[in-house]
Order: sequence, then structure tokens, then C-alpha cells
Amino acid sequence: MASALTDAVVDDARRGEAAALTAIYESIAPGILAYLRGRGSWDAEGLTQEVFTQLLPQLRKVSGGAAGVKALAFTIAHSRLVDEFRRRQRGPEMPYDSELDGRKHGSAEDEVIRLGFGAATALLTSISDEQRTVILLRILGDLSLDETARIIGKSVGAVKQLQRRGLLALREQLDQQQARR
Amino acid sequence: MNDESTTATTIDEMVADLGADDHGAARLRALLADVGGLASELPEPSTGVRDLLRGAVPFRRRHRRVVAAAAIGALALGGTSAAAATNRLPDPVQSAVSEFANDHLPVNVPHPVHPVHPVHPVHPVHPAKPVHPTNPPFDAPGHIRNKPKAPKPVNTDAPGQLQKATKPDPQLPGPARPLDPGSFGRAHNDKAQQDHSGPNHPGNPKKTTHVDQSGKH
Repeated sequence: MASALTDAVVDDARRGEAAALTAIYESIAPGILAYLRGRGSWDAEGLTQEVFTQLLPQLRKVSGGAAGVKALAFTIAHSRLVDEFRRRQRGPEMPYDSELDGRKHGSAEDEVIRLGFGAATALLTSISDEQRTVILLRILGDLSLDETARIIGKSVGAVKQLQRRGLLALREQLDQQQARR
Repeated sequence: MNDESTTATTIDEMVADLGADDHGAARLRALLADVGGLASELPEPSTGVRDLLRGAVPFRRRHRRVVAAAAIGALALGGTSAAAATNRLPDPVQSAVSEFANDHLPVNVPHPVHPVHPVHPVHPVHPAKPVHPTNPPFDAPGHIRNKPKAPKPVNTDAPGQLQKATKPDPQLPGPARPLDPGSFGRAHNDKAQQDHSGPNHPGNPKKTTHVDQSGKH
């Protein structure tokens, strides 16, 4: 788990102190990387670097202290991810041919487990994309409902509903797993 | 901020919103804690990010915008100048550009073929002089056919100056001719009086006739 980010550190970073800037990176970058991976980015590491390339020069203009910096970082990450999804949609679509598929792992859930994300994370792939987005932003970014709503461009009520339905779906899956044991 | 305690608080809030605290909620809480544990890998910063972390200030986007705006402005100015030099602009624009360039710049830009505004006034105005309307012949230099004259200022206090009707009414007689009693003499005054008692003058009821368009009187 990343270390805590304080308003004092952000103030130091605004003055250009290298140690404070590094502290911001070390505090936020792991959550950004996990969020991008959890949403299925093909280049989570590269996008994480793009997020900080855009974030760090804007530190002087950011208001709201540490929470404001964190919210802005996840806002940028979300936007970059949406851009990646759009680029994928514009790309050529190839029909799936199992004989040409050289992958050793058959499903996204298996791939997640192989990468060390844990079986728990694989459950997240069973809920809708919007529900997963809300849950990941709230936990990995430690963002409030209001901040999450602003990032994904929905109302607070809608975000609350997405979170509730996603958690209920996850709990149902957990109950089914428990019943099978 | 993003430490274990705050993440645990967030998870508790999220699970509490479901309204139940049973074994299912405990399993869900454990699941969400696992999700929070994903944020443990610190990615290696790229070269660009490493420079930024050392406090290097990048070339800011605002500066790039200013440079781009200046380039666009220079291109637009150059294009307009080139078009004006070859007389390809619309007449009003060409006129404005040529006047400005000829007045303020050391270049000669051609005027449009059909000038919008006359460059020099055709009839200079002398308000203090008695008016003797003498129209120049059509062949005279500087004469423009069918060009409406600008109303000349009339000094009604000047001696010998007659007041002219500025806006002739079709129902009323036309404006009186400019008279200078000292130079025209009596005969001219008589003629002027005849003009006042002409067929269209309201003071001469004998000659005023109304012609019915249908032919009935």
C-alpha cells in the first residue's frame, strides 16, 4: 500500500522540491497502475507515465491539496483509458481463429490470476464495466462519491447506484462460491 | 491518503451502504481489501517523468499556443497583403487595405476597380458664399452622373439669403429659386412671384384641378 500523501507534501512539490515530487509519484502511481490494469488497459505502464507527464507540470494550478492532486491524477488516467478504448474501436477488427491463437491461457480471469492479481480481482470482471470503474476508483483512488462522479461524468446518485449494484453482484458471486465449497 | 486506514474506511462505507452486516458482507469486505492491495506495485518512472520529478520545467503548452497563434496571424496577414497587392480582395476590403497601406506603409497597393468611397470630394462646400447653382457639364472632369449632392449648409442669418425647403413635398410647390435681389432686379422678382402663383400653388384655386383617373370630373 502506498504511503499517505499530505497537503504539506503537495505544497513542497509546487515549489519544485524533488523529494516532494517523488513522494507524490510514489503515493499515486501504484493506484493509477492498478486502476488501468483493472480496467483492462493494454499498456497500463505507458499510460501511467503519460498521466504523470501531464499531471506534474500542472501541480501549481491544482487546488484542493493532496485530495485535489489525487483526483486530478485519476481524472487524467480515466481520460487516457477512454482514449485507448476509442483507439481500439477505430482499429481493424480481426475475426477470431482459434488455430492462430498462440496464447496459453484461455480466459481473461485466468490471465488475471496468472499475472498475480488474485482470484478476487477476477471476480471484478464479472460485473459491468461502469460498476467496476466506480468500485476501482473508490478503492484504488480512495475517492469520494462526489469525486468519482465528476471523473466519470455522472451524477452522485448514479454513481451510488452503480456502486450498490456492483457490490451486490459481487456478494452474490461470493455467496455462490461459498455454496459450492 | 491512500494508506490502509483510509482505504479500510472507504471499504466500510461502501459495504455499509448495502444495509446488511452478515457473513456475506465480511466476505465482500475481504474481497475489496484484496482489490485495494493491488495498488502495491510502483512502476518505474520513464525518462520524461524522471526529469519532471527532478523539478525540470517542461515547455509549457501555453507558450506553444502563443507561438501557434502568432504563426497563424503572420500567415493571415501575409495572405491578405499578397491578395491586396494583386487586387484580388473584395472591393470594400481592397479599398480599406489600399487606403491604409498608401497612407501608413511604404508600399503602393492598388485601389479597387469600382471604388466604394470617392477618394476626393467632388464639390467643395463654401457655406458663406451666396448660392449660384451652376452645374458643371457632364463632360467636366470630376463630374459624377446621378450622384446625389450632399446638402449644403445654409446660413439663414446671412443678409439676402433665402430659406430653402430642404425636403420638397410633391403636393406643394417646389423650392423657391435662390434669389439675390441685388443682382437679379425687378423682372426676376416678378417671375419668381409668377412661379409662386403657378398651377400647383395652393394659393391659386382657379388653376388647381383634380384629375380623376376614371375620367369623371
